[in-house]
Amino acid sequence: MSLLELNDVSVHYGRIQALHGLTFTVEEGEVVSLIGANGAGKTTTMKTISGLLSPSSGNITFQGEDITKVKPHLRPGLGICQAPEGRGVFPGMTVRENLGMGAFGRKDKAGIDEDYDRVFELFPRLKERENQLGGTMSGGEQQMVAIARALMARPKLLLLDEPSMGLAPQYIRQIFKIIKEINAQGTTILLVEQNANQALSRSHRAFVLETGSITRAGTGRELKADPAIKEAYLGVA
Amino acid sequence: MLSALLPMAESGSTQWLSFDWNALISNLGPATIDGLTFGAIYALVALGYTLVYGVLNLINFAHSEVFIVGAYGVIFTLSALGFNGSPPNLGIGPIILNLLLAMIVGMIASCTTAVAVERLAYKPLRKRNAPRLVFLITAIGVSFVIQYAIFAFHSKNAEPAVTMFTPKPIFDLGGTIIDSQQLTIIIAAVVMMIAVDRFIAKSKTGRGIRAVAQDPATSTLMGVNSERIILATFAIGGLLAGAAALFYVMKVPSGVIYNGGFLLGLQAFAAAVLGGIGNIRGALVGGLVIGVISNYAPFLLGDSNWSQVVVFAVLVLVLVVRPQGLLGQTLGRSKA
Repeated sequence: MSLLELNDVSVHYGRIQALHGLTFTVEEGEVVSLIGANGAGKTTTMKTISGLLSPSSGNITFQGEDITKVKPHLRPGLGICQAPEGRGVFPGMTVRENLGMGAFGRKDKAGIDEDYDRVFELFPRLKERENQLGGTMSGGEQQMVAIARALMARPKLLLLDEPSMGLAPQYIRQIFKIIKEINAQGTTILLVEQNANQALSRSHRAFVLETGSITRAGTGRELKADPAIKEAYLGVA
Repeated sequence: MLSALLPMAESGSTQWLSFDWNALISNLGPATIDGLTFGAIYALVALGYTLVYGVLNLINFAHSEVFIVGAYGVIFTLSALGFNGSPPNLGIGPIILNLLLAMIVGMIASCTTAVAVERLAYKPLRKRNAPRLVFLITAIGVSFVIQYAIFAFHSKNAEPAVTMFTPKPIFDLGGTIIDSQQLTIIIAAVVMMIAVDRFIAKSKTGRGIRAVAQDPATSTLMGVNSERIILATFAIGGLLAGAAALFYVMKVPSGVIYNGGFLLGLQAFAAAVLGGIGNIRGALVGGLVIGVISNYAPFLLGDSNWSQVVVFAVLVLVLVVRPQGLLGQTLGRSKA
């Protein structure tokens, strides 16, 4: 049984079809990335998994249970939490309050305190800025808040939508290093990225999404060596 | 042409508008205290506008009717308890109990109305992703529906006045007497507003309200049930409006009439905007400022008809200089 399975999932925005029968799986313990150009349907896929969008057909199972109709606000409780595209840091909340929002549905106070310690260990910078307002942080710091906040839900599956978007190169390397570390601690990760080079290097498996369909699949290494991918996504002819 | 008009304008100006500073200064103390009392009432109602605006970006024009329904609840309860005519000869304990009972009925009435308006009018629009203008027109529509439903099904006349107690002087502040009624209203309103401020800052529902105000989609991803939060927001606004209704009936015993919420609602809305809409502390500041200004105007200009002119002129002037209101920030950005 795979941790996450999408079976023939289609999504429409009104009359426009954004996803065309997407089928793929994420196994427990993996880092899987979806790469593709702007408008390929990467964010749509993420929003469908987290429930902000409903498929027009197909279904999604998580740990073998059909979650297609589960309301989005109940999904963190099942073990799926997302760091959204554009980070979605609450601007008027402090860093600590932002992190607390990730644990909104949890009642195990001791476990939550443990997780504050854990994410502060992963992101020492956030410990320094604990009482700073989210809206006053730099882009890279906000991305750290978004990832740390999603971890506060103690997810089995962490969804990361474009974590490197708009970040300076030193932050990008740092973020990918931390993604690897989070995975090593046992969290499965589904990653959406435009930065195909980094994403493929850090992933066990990857899918290429083009106009709402998966056109290629393989291990990160295989796809990185694929001449067509090199040309289209890695900027090497 | 111009020179012909000038003498007219000069001679006319003394009759048209004259500032009686002496009258204002000699009444400054009582006018301020009574202004703060009214301001406390405006502030409680203003919170309802501000909270809903913070969460939904909607100016809930039906909030004035949420308030007046509470005032009906208060006045019905008090007449049933025998407070019509002269104040009943009761000890302080029983009076407080009776007033608390009337306040609770008012709060339940207002809260129920607010929640019903949200569920019956606004929620269906959200489900259909209606444009903002549609929400606004719906709010105005609901406001009139409630007003004229009271008019049609109940009465077009004001309810007979009730008298709760005869205000007694409590203390003397350098020549200004503060009476028991003013003291009760100001203290109760400020305590309630502090409680709401703390609730929004610290409680789980409060964190949810701030999260939805700042970023509804991300709140959902974090497990916040935004529909529940929206309902809670309307409920809190309704409870405060119901409490304000009791204080309103104390100050304006004959003011419970089908359209009695309209002007008060407008003043409370002005207070919310003046303080910075979406800002909880702004509602308090805006309410008190508007209460005091509207109480100075009659002394300064010799006629109570000037109150509204001055209040709304000040509102316009402040917004020209500070469009974000006195305290600025929205609910979304205010720190805990």
